Formats: sequence, structure tokens, C-alpha cells
Amino acid sequence: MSTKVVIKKNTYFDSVSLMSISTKANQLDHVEQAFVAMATEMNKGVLRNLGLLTPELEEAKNGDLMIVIKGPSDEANEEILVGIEELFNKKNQGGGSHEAKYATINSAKTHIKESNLAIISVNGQFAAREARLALENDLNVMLFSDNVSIEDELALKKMASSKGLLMMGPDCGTAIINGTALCFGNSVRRGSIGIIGASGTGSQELSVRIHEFGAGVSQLIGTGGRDLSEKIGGIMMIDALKMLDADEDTKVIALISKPPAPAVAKKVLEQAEKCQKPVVVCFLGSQPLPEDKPGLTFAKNTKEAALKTVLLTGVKKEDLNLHSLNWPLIEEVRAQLAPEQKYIRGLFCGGTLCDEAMFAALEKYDDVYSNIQPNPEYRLKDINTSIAHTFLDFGDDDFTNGKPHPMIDPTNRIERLLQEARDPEVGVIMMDFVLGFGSHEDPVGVMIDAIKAAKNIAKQDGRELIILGYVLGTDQDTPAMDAQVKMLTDADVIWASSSTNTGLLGREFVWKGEKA
Amino acid sequence: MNNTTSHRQTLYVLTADRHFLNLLNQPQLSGKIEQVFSKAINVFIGNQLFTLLSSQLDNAPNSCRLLNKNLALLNINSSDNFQILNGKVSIGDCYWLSFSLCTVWQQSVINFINDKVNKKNYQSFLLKQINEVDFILSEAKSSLFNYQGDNLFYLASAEKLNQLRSDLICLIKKKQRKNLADVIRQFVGLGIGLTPSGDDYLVGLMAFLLLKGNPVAVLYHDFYQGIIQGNEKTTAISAITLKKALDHEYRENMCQLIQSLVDANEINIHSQILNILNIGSSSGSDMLFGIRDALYLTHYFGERYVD
Repeated sequence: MSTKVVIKKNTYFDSVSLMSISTKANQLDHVEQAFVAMATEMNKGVLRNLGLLTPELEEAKNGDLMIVIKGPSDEANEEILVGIEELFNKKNQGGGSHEAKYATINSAKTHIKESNLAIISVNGQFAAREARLALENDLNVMLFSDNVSIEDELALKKMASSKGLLMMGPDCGTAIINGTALCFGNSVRRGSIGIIGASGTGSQELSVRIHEFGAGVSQLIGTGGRDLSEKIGGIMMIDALKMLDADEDTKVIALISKPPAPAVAKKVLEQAEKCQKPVVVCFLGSQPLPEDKPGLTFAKNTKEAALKTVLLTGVKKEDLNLHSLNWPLIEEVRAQLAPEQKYIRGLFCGGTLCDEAMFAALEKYDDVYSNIQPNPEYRLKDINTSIAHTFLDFGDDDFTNGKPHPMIDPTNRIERLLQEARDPEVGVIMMDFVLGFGSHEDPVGVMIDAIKAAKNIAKQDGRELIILGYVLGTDQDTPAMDAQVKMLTDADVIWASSSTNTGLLGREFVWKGEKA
Repeated sequence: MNNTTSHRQTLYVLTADRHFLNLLNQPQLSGKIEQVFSKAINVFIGNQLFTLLSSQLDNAPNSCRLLNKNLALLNINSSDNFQILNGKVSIGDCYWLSFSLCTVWQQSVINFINDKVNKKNYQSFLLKQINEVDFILSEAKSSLFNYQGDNLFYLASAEKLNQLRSDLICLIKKKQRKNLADVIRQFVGLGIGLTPSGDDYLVGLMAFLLLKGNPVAVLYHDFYQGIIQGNEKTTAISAITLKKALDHEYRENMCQLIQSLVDANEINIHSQILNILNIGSSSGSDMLFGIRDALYLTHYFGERYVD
């Protein structure tokens, strides 16, 4: 083993550059240890303690840079030194692609004058301030953060509205602006349908169904879940309606949300009626469905909304595969389930996917519980214990407090899946798997062993446990849709073609009546 | 030297502190450019270090801010001459400084109101800020304090830093002055880059802890001794920063944060903390470690006598 020391007189670099060069130097062939640092007395003291201080290093001054290489031989060390010098040269030349970091929004806007949108994801207590700064800098805002007060939200939306800017959020996880998906989003073809969504996965689902039905998306504008509350008054949705109505690339507009406050729904629908372009409205869970008006069409679920929207762009219904319910499959599953296996347990990452399945179940059953049940009587008191038909939104604050979103970290869902599998009254477990930007790189793969284990638990108890999966994504998404679905099929999981069908299939699988 | 200005490009000075402006009062001075970064150029004049800063940076002691954003684009190199003659400043063969736009930056004096530290609400404020800084620092992977790689030298340096940090806190808590200066001395020059992490830590620590009125300010002399003993053992730029810190002189961003911490003013404190975090490559995070410990120690002494 040989040690080579090089002293560069009056040479200086910042510590991150030196650490980075050292890390790369240690990856060069034959290097035992290599490092670079300023030759201060204290640093030489550390080297002394490591037994690496040489007479040359003793001579180095505080303003000098020291390079220390431990390698197999003098010759090898010379080669390593050449490699390290190249690293220094590259550092000096700079260039190449890089990610610029700015301390403040003001600074970013100063450096990138043409920027027009800020995505803000900071702790909720600081988020409003950052959003305000962005708006003051004439930036549209996508505010991913939650825990922003409703008063702040109102003030921000009023400010954005007065400046003609988008204020998407707070708690806005999905948008596609000029073809670019922001935060969570799917790869969908560009087209003439503009989506305005107050629900993240609802918007994603609508966009992928539109893609599947052969049409495309011009813009997907998220509003944040509270936009249609009484207090906010739908400011963002109304502004977005006006923007898309004026957008040349948008020919049809689709709205998706949970049921808004009645007064807000009225305002939004009045604005929708004023639009020059047809508007399809899907307020999930609304009962009964309002009657269509000229230019205004209502849809009960995401699939119907996508279909009605796509038909308005000129696509022919007869050209589409509508994936009607597979009744032979339903009969087959019913035959496999024991009489006591009468309940559904829905374990969802996507809030709207959970909603849609829950609303489908509610059409047929009364005892439907959830952590996001609109009826407080049926809202779970203890989210760790399921009752009858239970639908869980693992993305809700109940589960994410201090933990990553289930689209990124599946731990919560895996544990719950195994727990539900032990319940002899469970017939069907529903699960969604969301592909696309921002999501887990292999959402099915990360769950598949747990799925197999869950089915095995039931099997050992002499039960057939039906797992009904839904993969939200397109043929353009990463990871590949086909491979994800194949994993499910190989694990004996039944998979649905849409969020809507997931809800319908699940409720029919466990139906114990004579006829569906 | 050709000190005529006609063939030279003008670099406009936006702000300067009184130390820098005092240079202009000298009939004749000459110095050398030491280091050139994109946002700062260090100049040695006499035995002192001065800095030309980009307009993108905040004010700092011994500095002036230029209208230019990226100083690395200028034709200024290490060893270029820096000449002052009859109030005119020339740099190398290409530039001269114009002060026609310049305003003076004056650092405000910050005093800590001694009995504040015993108040419950100030104690809570300190705790909240400690948690906030801890959260931010948990992500500060560039700091040597958080080094988790496998480089022997960096590991040993990180271990030494953290050991010294622990020793220092322990000594201050006990107000044991016997070894205090020696421990402080050992921080000086410990770290990898141009401003070693140990120095940056001390700068952050002293900025809050040695404020007049802070319960720990009685240990000022020990800090002074430790830094003076170690001052020859670190890089020149870091040595001057430490000396300035002993004189309670800090860059503008640091002053703003310290003022907010003293006033328990939370309005801008998050962005002010981030402004510190973003100083240099790792200097900011190292300084934040110091500020964090200063907050902790102030809280500790306050808690003992809380109202």
C-alpha cells in the first residue's frame, strides 16, 4: 500500500465540491482511500490521529488544498491522481445540466424571469406565505401543501382571481398544464378536453378514461378539495371555467368533484351554463342526478363523465370498448364465496377512488362505513377496526399524519390487508394501484407478496378471498400498465377496467340476494 | 500601474459597509485578489480581507455589493492587483469601481433583554425554533456535522466536530471555564472547505449566544481566547469572519435572523432561517447548527429560572 500527497498552493473549493470530488475519487479504480480538503492545522491534526500525516502535509498552509491518495502502488497512485485532476477540471469547467436551487421565490423569479408557475410543497404553516409571494411575483400557483387555513385559502384565491392567475390548492395533488403533469399525474395524450377537478385521483381517473376512449386533455386544473365549500365559494373552479372557455385548444370542459355546498354548486353551474363550450359535470355522490340543460350534461360517475365528454368531441360510441360489467364473472365469484363472506373492505390510496366505490356500495347496502363517509353516523370512530362494508382512504389525514402518502409508502396498506384477510366475514378486498408521475415506481410489485400472503391466510382458513384490483394508468405510463396488470393476474387477483367498474363489481360480488 | 479610468469598465457599487468605505480615505493602498467565486471576490489589502459581493447576496462586514450578478463572468483572477489611489479603486487592468450609486450599509445593534429569557412564552418560542431548525438540519446532508459516508478522513472530522460540540455544550451548561477556550480553539479550522465547518458553527453560535444580555455572554472572554488562539490555524477568510463575529459583526441575513430571534418575531423567521441555510455550499447549515445550539443553551439557562 502506498500513500501519495499533493499540495496545491493557495487553492480553494467549497466543502460540498470537495466532498463530491472525494466521493467520485473513491470510485476510481484501485483507490483504497482518497480525500481532498483545505490543509488547516485542525485537519492536519485529524490526519495525524489517522496516521496519515506526512512531512509534506506538515508543511502545507491553511490556504492550501491537500489531496491524499491511498492506493496499491506508486504507479497506481499516479494514475489515480490524473483521475482526480480531471474531476477538478470538470468542476472548474462547470456546465452540463443541473438543477438550480434558489433560497426564495423572489430569487427564483429574478433568475428565471420567464417562469410563470410555482409548485409549493412546504410545511402548511408557511405555505400561505410562500403562495402569496408567488402570486405577488405574477406566478400561477400549485399548492400541494395541506394544513393551510381556510381564511388564507380564501385570501390567496381572491388575490389570484384579481390578477387572473391560477391558485390551485391548497392540498392540490394533480394538474396537467400545457402537457406537463405536475405532482401526481398520468401520461395522457393532449387533446381538446379541459378538466377542472376538486379531487385529485378523480381528476386522474377522468383523464385516463378520456385517454382510453381515444380523446385527449388540453389542460387539467386542480382546485384543491375545499374550493367548492361555502367559505371559498368555488373561486378557482369558476375562474378555471372562464379560462378554459377562453382557451382555444379546449373544446369541451369536464368538472369533477365531491358534492359541493348547494349554494356553491348553483354558482358553479350558472357559470358553466354561461360557457360557450359544452360542460360535463360529475359531482360524485350527488343524489339525484340533475337533469341536463343545454350545454350542461351531468354524469353519475367518472366513467360516465369521461364517456359523455369524449362523445361531445365527436368520438363515436360504437367505436369504443365500454367495458360493460362481466356478469358471468360476477356469478362465478358469488359461487366461490361462503355465505358468511358478505362484506367488502376497500383499501384505497386515492380518495376519489374510495369515494366512488363507497357510493356504488351505498346504492345497494346501508351498512357502509368509512373514514371519509359523508354521513357522520357511518364514519369510523376507530379507523383501525373495520365494520361491515368498510372503505378506507389511506391518503386521508387520518392515516398520513407524519407519514408519506400511500401512493409512495405502502406500509399502512400492507398491514391492513393482512388484518382484513383474517376476517371470515370478508368476501372482497378492493385495492387501487396508481401509476404515473409522482407515484411509487412499482405500485403492484410492492404489494404483491402481501396480496399472496392475504389470499393464503384465507385459504388456510378454508375460505376463498377475492381481491379486486384496479390499476389507474394509461398505456403511456411508467411503469408499464401491462406488466402491472400481469402481476395481479398471476397472483389470482381480479382486476377492474375503471374506478367505476371496481365499485360496481365489488358490490355485486358480495351480493347475497337472488338477483343483482 | 496605469490608474487612468478611461479604458476601464466601470463596476458600480450598490452598498458598502463603513470598513470598506474607510479604505477610500487612504491616499494609497494596494492589495491582491485572493479568490474569485461567482458571488464573491475576496481581496487582501494590508493585513485585512475585504469582499466584493454580487448584488444577489446580502451585505456583510468588510464588503461592498456590486451591481453585477455573476462575478465569475468578469475578467478578474486570483493575484490581480487591487489598487486604491486618491479615492479611486482599480482592479487588474480592466475595471474600476464607481461609488456614485453607493449607499452605506450600517449594521443595527442587537441587544438581548436579559429577563426575557425567563418568560414562559419566550421559552416556548425558543423551543419552537429549536424544533424548526432541527427539522431543517435533519435534511442538511451537505453539512459535515451530518456526514454519513465512508471516507475515513471526513468521518474522523465529523466525529471530532460532534464530540467538540457535545463537550462545548456540556462546559457551557456547567459554566466550566477551565477548558472552554481550548475546546473553542479546537473548532477553529476543522472542516473541509474554504470556511471550515467548525468556524461556521462558532459564527452561528456566537451570533446569538454572545449578544449582550444573553446569560451565556459572560463567557465572551473564553470565546475570545479560544478564537484568537486558533485564528492563525484556519483559512484567511474564515479567520476574518471569526474575528468579526467576536466584534458582533455579521452579514445582513444573520443580523435579520438574530433580530427576529431576540424579538420572538415569527413573521419572517422561516425564510430568514432558509436564507442562512443557503449561505455557501455547507456554511449555512454549519452556522445553523451553531444557532441551534445557541438557542438550546439560552433556553436551558432560561428554563432554570423561568417565571
